[in-house]
Amino acid sequence: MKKDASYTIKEDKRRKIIKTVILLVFAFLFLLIATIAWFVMNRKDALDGMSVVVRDDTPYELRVKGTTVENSTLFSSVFGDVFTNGVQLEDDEGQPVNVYQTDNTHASIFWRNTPSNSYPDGLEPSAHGALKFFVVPNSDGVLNAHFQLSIKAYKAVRDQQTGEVTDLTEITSSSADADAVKALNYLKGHILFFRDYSNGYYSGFLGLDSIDFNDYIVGNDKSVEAGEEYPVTIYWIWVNAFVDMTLDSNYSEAETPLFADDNTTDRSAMVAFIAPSSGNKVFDSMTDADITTRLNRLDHNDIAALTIGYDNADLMIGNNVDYIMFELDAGA
Amino acid sequence: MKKISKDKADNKSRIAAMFGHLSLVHKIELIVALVVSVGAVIGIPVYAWFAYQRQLAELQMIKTPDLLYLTAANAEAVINLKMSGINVSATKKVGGQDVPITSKMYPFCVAGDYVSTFTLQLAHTSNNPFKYKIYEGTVYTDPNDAASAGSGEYVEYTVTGNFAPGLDVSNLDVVTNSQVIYIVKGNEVPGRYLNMNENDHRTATTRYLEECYGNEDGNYLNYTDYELALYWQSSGILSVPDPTNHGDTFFKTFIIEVSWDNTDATNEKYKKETDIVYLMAFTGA
Repeated sequence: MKKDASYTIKEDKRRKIIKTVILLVFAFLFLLIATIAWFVMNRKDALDGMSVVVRDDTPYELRVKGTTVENSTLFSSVFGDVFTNGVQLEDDEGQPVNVYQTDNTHASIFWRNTPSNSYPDGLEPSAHGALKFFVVPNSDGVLNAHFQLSIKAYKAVRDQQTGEVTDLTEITSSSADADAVKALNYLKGHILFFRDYSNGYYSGFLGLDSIDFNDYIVGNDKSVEAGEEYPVTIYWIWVNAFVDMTLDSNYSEAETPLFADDNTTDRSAMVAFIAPSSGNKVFDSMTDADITTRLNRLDHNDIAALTIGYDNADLMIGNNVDYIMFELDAGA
Repeated sequence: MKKISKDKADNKSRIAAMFGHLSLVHKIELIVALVVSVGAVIGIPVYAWFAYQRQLAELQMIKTPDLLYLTAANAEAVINLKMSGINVSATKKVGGQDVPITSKMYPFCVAGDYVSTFTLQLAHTSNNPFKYKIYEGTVYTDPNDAASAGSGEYVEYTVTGNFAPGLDVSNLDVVTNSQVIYIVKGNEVPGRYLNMNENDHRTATTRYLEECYGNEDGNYLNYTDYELALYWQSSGILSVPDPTNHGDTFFKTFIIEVSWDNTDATNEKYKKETDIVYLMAFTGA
């Protein structure tokens, strides 16, 4: 009996030690993961330029091409701690070219354009363009990548004497300026993203969902090759008139419809997108009930009323927002 | 069904009993182990996401809308809008008799494109006991047509061809050759004063005193009654008759009429006074 008791005690001790070791291992793992996650998470804020090596097996890098960074001086001065040019590539002779890409220490980089895409006087309704980049996989095979495109809005802080913009203040849903918050919402309903643009018509409305890289890879076999570049182009337009979103060319009120007449898929997606039930804000100074009734009936008077609401929302944007940022977050 | 729920209840109570029987140290160990496991489960995917994360961004300026223009008649540069030459003791011949003139009209326009509705505002001081009213105006090129149209009251304007800078008049029905146009007074634009004193219908109430003069030392003694501006506005004016044609460039003609009571006209003081009149048009409600 005594023997048995001492055996039990020994067994208990061993169990305790094993338990403690397991616990320690778990705690260590947890701390490690939390710390690395924190570092990686904050890299864009605090660790840019520091030599913290996180991981080397990033599945892909993003590449951009072009001579121009829109509003580059202001962009660098306000967001330079987060965004950089990235790594500039060289040609075969070692000469730098206008091609830049991300790496572990340049996770956030400026988009680049050709001058013809820029709006030096600022965007206004009917402004449109393309956001182009390339995905460069680090390994062969099927690449799982998703991109989330978002629009951020800013108010300019100006120098009182010179009127020059010295800083930007982001407008968020909790900003104190009610009109600015409205404008932010209208922006998301008025500047739209599409996968394709051809013959004057858009198609493949992207809504506010994330974008699947594999949709841009032609063919059933979605496998990609390491080191190759795979282009992704997202077309955007600040729609000038609400009728262009919903009406086909058979309506006399239509101006320049976004979609070809036979593209009913995108047109009905758009009708759902602008309806108040979607939660999106598109029309100013109108109740949700009024908008819904009019969108369903859509007679000439309704089109007139909705046009006024849409135009006023555009003006709300123009009068309350000074800068916007197209931001693309790329993840797995 | 009953049996299953009973089993569940039994399990629950068994787990509770087991937990209850553990020593405090064991309880702490168990809770820590659970937290660590959950942390690992959540942490790994989060870590994976952030480790891959790459960002691209483009900064674009938004143009401040400048789609609305306040212009002189015929969509001409606003420098041609002059509100002068009021003579309160002037007369005109009607049927061979001298009749006092008691009003003067000045034409102006609001022009632009992609504006469905706009708000028209008038602000003025009240040194002179004038009445200001804004009417819609219709343009005629023949004085006889103007005289027989609507009210028959019209104001003449000599076209300069100097159009409002920045305004594209190529699609507007403006008069391009130098000639006189006749603008007939139409319906009064429905609007209202926001701060008119109801007792004298001339001076301003203290409603916008603080906005105008600030609140220095809590008193506003440094003004006279007649220099406080009166504010009038009319909102929701349709730019084009059918808002679905909102893309059309438009110009809408108005007349501002200044009128006076000629029985006051002999008052020397009021002949010499100056008033400041502001006209403003802005988009939206």
